[in-house]
Amino acid sequence: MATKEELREALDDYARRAEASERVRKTLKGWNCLMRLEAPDIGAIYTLRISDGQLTEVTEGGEGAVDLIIQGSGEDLTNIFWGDENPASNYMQGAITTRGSQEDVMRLDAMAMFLYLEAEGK
Amino acid sequence: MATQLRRAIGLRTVVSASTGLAFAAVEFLAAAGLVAYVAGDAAWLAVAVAGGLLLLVWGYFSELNGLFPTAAAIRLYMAKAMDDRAALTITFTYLLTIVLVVSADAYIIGSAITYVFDQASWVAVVYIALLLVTATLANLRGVRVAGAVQDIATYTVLAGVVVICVIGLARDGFALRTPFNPVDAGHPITSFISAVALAIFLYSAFEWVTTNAEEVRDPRLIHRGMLISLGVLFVVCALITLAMSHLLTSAELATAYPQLYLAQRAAGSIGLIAMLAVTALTALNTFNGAFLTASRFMYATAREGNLPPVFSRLNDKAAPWAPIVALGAASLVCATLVAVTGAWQALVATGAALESMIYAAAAYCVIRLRGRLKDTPRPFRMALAPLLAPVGLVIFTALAVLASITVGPDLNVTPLAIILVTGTLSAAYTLLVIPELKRRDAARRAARGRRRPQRAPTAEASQEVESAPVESGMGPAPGE
Repeated sequence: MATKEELREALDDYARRAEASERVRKTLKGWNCLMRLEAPDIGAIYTLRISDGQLTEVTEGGEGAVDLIIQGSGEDLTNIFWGDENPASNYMQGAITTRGSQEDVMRLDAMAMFLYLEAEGK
Repeated sequence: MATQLRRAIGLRTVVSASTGLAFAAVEFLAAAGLVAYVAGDAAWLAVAVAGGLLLLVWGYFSELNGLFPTAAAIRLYMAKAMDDRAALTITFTYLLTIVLVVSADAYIIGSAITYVFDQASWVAVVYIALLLVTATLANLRGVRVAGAVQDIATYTVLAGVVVICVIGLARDGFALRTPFNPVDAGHPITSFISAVALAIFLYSAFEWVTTNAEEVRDPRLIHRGMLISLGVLFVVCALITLAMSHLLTSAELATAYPQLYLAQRAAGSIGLIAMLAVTALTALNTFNGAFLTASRFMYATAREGNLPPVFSRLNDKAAPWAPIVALGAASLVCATLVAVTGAWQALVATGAALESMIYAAAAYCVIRLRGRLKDTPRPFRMALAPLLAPVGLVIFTALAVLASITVGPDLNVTPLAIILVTGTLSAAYTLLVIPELKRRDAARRAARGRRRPQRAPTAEASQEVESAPVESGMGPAPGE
């Protein structure tokens, strides 16, 4: 089972790769979203802010309403943000759940896909 | 306290989405078809019986939606209730319904415009192409109909139709003929049963609103909204059949635009133009809902590795361009075929059969999941499900068979042939192509390796690994 620290590490790595990705910048330009990531099994809650398609802020905890809520096990979420698990497969199999606009869900998934492809050199 | 959403859909929009998705332009044709099956002005009884059956469907989808409140629910509950390959085959076949509804709407609107402006019938093909190209481009550009616009469009359509029907009935002095006698010498009981099968189609797609389950303020709004929507659809469709049976001739009922004749009889040229606008407005919800639902579903299925990777590519507006183009092209081909052959009744019958089929599948899923997921919390638990789910399974299977071998009042196996061909292609794809896609995906994944740094396992983690059940099929690699 992943720890809170491992999930945080995965998120930081994800944010770094997203920032460096030209493809993410271009396709997700203009996308603004405040999302909450919840892994109840490890007691982890993170708030992620996306401004103009860039993941600009990852903070632990968070209060107030958001645009998108993602919930899953710490292990699945950690693997997803490292790019080792497919968020769409997890979603389609019910391993992670979301609440919020489907547009936001799809854009977040697209971000993961672009990063995966770039890691493959495509 | 659970985290709240900043923007969430309320009951009004749930009702308008559910009703708007069901109330496509093809509704008018299906209602006109019903009138021909039933004696006098009793077609509303078929609408009522179908509405009663749809209460069962409401129960199934409310329970399944409560179990899986997600846009991917259909994949989830089918995969958990039956073999995943069977679930995929049914789901791919079901996508045909979306194409049929979009095609039918495009055809009906195109035909209606040519009638109002007194143009040759072939011009309808031009309008159909224009409509579908516009819808495809709008979706590719990421244009979305906002909830408020959808509310206004749906309620305007419903109000417009009700007003025209009431005016029409008033002109006839509200003199009902045989409202409670659907059967006579020329209309046997079998015709009434066929009418019920067709009337199912009047409500079809009301359940698509379950794909909005992640966006609502409170998950319970979905089943409440669907129930209200069924009531609204019953009232409006019953009124349409009553007004049509009073004001239209058999020849007018058999056209592709009976609603225009109805409006013309009720309110002259003003009525005609108003009904044309109402017909066009239905497309806003149908095209928006159908393109969004189907293209997102295809995108997610491709990302899962069950469709070729091209279907998961996004354009610079973050729209899945291949699913959108494929849907637009399939709808254009289908609508053009219908325009050329005039076989819109076969289209309606195919849609009715497919909807009944999916309702039977939903009943089956409720039965299976009551056993397989008996301890999973259900925010909505269908009353008498052990009795009503098997009953619904039998009824909707029978109605699916009936609708698939009946076009208009005649025996015709065209819908059955369409469904069998599509089902066979879906099954072949699921059995032959998907394993190869999965194999390639697994090979890519293996070559890529894992990025997550490996940690030395703690004693606690080691114990968990030892006792954890082995899972398979959780493909880690995103579809390309």
